[in-house]
Amino acid sequence: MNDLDLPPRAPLPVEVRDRIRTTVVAGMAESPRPSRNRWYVPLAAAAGVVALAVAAVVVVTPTGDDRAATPPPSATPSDIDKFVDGCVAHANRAYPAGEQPWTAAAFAAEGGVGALTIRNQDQSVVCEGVPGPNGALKVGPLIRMGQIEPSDVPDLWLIPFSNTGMQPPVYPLILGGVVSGQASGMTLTLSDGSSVEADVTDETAMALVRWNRHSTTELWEKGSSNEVMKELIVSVRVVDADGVVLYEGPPA
Amino acid sequence: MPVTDADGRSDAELWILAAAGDRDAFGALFERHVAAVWNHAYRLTASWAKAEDLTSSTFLLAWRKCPELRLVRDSALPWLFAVAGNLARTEFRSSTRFLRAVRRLPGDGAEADHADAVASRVDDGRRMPRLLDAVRELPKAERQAVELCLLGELSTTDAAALLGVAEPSVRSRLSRARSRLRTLLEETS
Repeated sequence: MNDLDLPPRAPLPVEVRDRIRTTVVAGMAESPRPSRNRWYVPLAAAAGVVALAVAAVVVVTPTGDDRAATPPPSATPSDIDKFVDGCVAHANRAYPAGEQPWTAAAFAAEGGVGALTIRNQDQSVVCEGVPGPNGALKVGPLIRMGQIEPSDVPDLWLIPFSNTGMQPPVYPLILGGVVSGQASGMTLTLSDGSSVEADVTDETAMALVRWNRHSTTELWEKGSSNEVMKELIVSVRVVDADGVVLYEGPPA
Repeated sequence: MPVTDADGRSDAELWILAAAGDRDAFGALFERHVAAVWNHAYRLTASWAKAEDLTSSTFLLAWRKCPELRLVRDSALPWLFAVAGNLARTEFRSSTRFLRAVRRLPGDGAEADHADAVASRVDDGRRMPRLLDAVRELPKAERQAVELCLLGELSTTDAAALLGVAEPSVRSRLSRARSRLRTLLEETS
């Protein structure tokens, strides 16, 4: 404090740092330099990213090490309930939503960390779960995923994917998903040729892609999480209960 | 002694790399200074909500401008503070619109959680706007010195280098500004 009686400097909350970083990286893609036009990425492309819908959540790695979602080793159902309730309360405090409160949509956990997708009509956020006491998940930063947009497929909406886990020890990426009453499963084909199957539950699906590299560095290098995801996820396929393909294409 | 990262790179070195298009170098600058810029942005706006957007705008402008500029000191912080001050006065309104377009999300909900926490901690909500109103009444030269040295707590040496004036000139501007601010704040208290 100095002679103007200024308030002391405050520590920058992790979620605020994350939001600022995400905004800056997105803005860098939108703000071409005169000599560096190769970085220009139309916003429409960045926002039009796909993901799938579906009720189940899958945790994958770029090496094809896919596993069904599993809670942290020591977490009990009660711990997960507390985490989910805490995240929903956090979202409702952080992003007042008026008559449409935020509700939990899809949960994924792996290796002691987790993520919960929370929806509010046409928007979604992801709540990070960081390791807490006794193996329980602790409510971490909220990551805004963006507007849920209608796709070319009737009754199928896309949740744009976004980066999350920018702070240790999380470091995954979240692949946004699809919201569809018709979808019953999805398949991701990864860049190494492996594929990941996911079931659909509650009309919402989300894939959590764990990255082996330090995602903060990667994000700055690539310029946007979408660019990174394009390299990891080759294609996305969504089918209905009869196996009819509802959507098939790149995740962007 | 300049601050360096794990690779021993100073701000000036990172700045040059960022100017050449190295996003990782720019990211290192961001991680190093974002907390300081965010705090300074609050002192320039008296609003944690605006501070978040102003911080984003400041770093975006830094990314666009760094190929054209060389740091005059070892630290990028004085320049970032000066940019934040300029944006707060001039371009902030339009840049906020830009940021919202980038996010494609509603505007002001993001900061409510933190703003609430802060509001319960200090009464900045009343004190800072009054102080900023007084700062805005100052002549430009004094206002710049106040923003950098009093609000930003930079050294007069750094401010002088940034403003391109002699250090004694910055000191005299601060002295006159303090006197004016005292009067202005007494009038409004």
